[in-house]
Amino acid sequence: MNKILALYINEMTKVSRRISVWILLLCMALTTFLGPRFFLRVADIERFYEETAISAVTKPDITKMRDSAREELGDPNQYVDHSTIRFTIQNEVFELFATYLNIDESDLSKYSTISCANSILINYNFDAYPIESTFLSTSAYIGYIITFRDVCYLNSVPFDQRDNVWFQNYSRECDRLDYVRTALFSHDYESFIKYLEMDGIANGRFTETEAVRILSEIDPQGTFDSSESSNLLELISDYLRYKQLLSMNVDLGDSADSYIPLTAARRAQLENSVKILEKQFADHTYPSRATTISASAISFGMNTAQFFLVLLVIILAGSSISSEMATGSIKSLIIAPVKRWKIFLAKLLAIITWIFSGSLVITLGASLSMGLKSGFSTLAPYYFVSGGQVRTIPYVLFALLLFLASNIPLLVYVLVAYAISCNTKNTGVAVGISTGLVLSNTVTQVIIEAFSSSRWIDFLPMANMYLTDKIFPYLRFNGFNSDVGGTISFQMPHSIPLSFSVTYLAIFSFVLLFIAYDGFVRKDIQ
Amino acid sequence: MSDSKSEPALSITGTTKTFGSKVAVDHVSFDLYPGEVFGFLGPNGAGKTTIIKMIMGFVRPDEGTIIINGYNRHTDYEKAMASIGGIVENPEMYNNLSARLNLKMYARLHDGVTKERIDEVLELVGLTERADEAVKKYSLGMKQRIGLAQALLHRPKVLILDEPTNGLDPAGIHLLRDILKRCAHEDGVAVMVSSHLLGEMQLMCDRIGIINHGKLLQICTTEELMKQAKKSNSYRIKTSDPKRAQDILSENSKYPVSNLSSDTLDVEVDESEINACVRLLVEKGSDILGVQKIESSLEEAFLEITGGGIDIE
Repeated sequence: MNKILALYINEMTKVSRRISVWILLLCMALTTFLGPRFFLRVADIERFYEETAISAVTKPDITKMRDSAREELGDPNQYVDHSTIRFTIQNEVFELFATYLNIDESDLSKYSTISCANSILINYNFDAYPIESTFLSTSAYIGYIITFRDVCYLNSVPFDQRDNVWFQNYSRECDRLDYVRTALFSHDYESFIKYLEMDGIANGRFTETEAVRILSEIDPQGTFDSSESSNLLELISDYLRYKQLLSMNVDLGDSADSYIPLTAARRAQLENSVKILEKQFADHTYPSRATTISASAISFGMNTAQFFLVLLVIILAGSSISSEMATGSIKSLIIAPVKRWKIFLAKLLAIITWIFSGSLVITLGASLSMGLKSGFSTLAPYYFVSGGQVRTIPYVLFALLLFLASNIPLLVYVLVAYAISCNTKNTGVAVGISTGLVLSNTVTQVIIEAFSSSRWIDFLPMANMYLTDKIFPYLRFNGFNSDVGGTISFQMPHSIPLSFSVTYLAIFSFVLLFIAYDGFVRKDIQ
Repeated sequence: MSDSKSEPALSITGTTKTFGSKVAVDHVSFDLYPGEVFGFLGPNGAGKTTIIKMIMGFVRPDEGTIIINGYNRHTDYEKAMASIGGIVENPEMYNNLSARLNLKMYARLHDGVTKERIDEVLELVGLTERADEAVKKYSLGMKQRIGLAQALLHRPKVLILDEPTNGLDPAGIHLLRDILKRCAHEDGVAVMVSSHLLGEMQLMCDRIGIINHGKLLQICTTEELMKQAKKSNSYRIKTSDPKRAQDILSENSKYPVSNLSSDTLDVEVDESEINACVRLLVEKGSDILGVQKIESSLEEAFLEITGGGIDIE
């Protein structure tokens, strides 16, 4: 045992004296630290959200909008006519003090704009909430404008053409207008949901109403801004879809509109997802937008830096034995009183140590970068379910594990490089072939997609190497997604059970290890 | 000196190695005793290095046992190898590391090698001053020295050096010879040296094993080999007409003649008969300008034993 340790220390000493190793580690540290910031700059997420947000919602904006419409239209009152009309519905008589807008359809929206703007300028409390500041006020504002226009449109129907159907429509739109007005002016979620519900009856958009209802339970005061709310609404709609799939006992198929029977494993996963989300909604620990952006930026930083890690460890593994064979320095190991398998093991352990060290540098670098930039509270723990209980893994540990899991393909490539290294004196061949394999990922991905419906692709090594989303099935619930490890990631068109992949990988790695062992431990050294 | 009564430090029995259809080492057996310098002599490709590689763990023998310091190398590898030190072919170090670090790393793989011991062996091979330089800056001779330092570092019971004088300057060769003799005769180390530099072996070794075509042909002490060599002593006779002298001597089959030149000829004759031989020439009217004994060396004995030395470079 202490011989292995001594060999291991020697290996680490040798490698750590190589300048190229430190250059690559430095590159790793720099890219992982700067990558997330670069991502934020290039992706420019904040600006994107600003651009999609509605414009012209401040008091002067609305005033200006009203005044310009008024200038084009003149006095709006000149188009208005009033009369009392009667409707008899199911032997019941309704009397309505009705308005008639004698106006062209093209000018109708101007009229609506003027009236609507007036109403908002008088009733809206701009000091409490700027309209654009919260999801509730923005949505209610848009709803109010649309519904107001709908009512104006109904009012443009001449008195003699207003039948019972018109009356029903008119009554409903007026009710909706009341609700959305209350929602807007009183900043009241309940009214907004009632407004949506009526809309839902008309359009069949139950899910959206349900999602907003859950949103309102999480944010009863309506303080969330648009981007935060839409981020949360995405999670809520996932939550609702999971529940729907569970209740229907079906799963989404490979194509968009196909459904397949729900497997037991998938059912458990959906049930756990529902459990996690319910807990997160209750505790307000769901991934906030800041968390999601942080996670994407961290993923980007880690993926970019991973390139250098791949380069480093493949060079180390590829040269590990072959270069010592080529230079002859292997002699001082062979002459030493250590069994050859110990040399073999110590070298492998040293390479794995570099994978771990690199992973640690990369994970900590990216996390530190985003923690300093967006606050360490945006680094969320990983949620999972064990024994029916929702549990968490602390962020740093989780991020490291996630990155390590994303490096399982790298481990396989390293074994390939090591196996070749053990069988040749030519370091270039060992490094070249392994690097080629990494690069061929893209080509294999294309082949896989071409044969996506066949099952034989499941037996390709690459199909079973990228296990991140299987090991961490609930990544979405702390803001990450499964593209961590992008340099060497691999997407399968259909899912392969984790147990199959693990068995496959174990056998595959064993074969590679055997080739390596046979090449170095059992063969003569000339 | 070899002491057949003591336990051998290295014992090789029936060791055989085949590469494909070529038998590189064919049932080689020999013992190496504490306190002796054993020379392993053979032309290139004779199997010297293969045997050394088998002893040092580079090559697995197909047959035979190797026992080092009482431990079977096959079953008790690490214990057996702990008692052995050496250089196989050229010493190769980690070139970008300093000599001292190379030794430090090697010391980690042995028990009980102290920092002081590293300084000691560096001093011994005369590298103290340049010990912290990267090995890549070293000359071949210096590399040989650091290789020797590494081989001696853990005070091995058996020291095996493959062509150790390669690249050494005369001072280095002298130093090496001193170190080896001191190791063997003072510290009781069993030293084995392979070489094709016969003169060197003559000066260095107590016993010599001669190998060719994978077979160990003969093991004897250096004195025995010298004696064997002396049996066929010859004399160089300087004369104005070597052709005539040859004719005179040819009549008498007792004196075989070789190496005729313009004014000399070599006669193969024992010391006891050279007087009669010269007298014969003088009597027959040949003028003798000089008679010189040609010192025969191991080289000739070696050529004879290995069958004409066809493989000698």
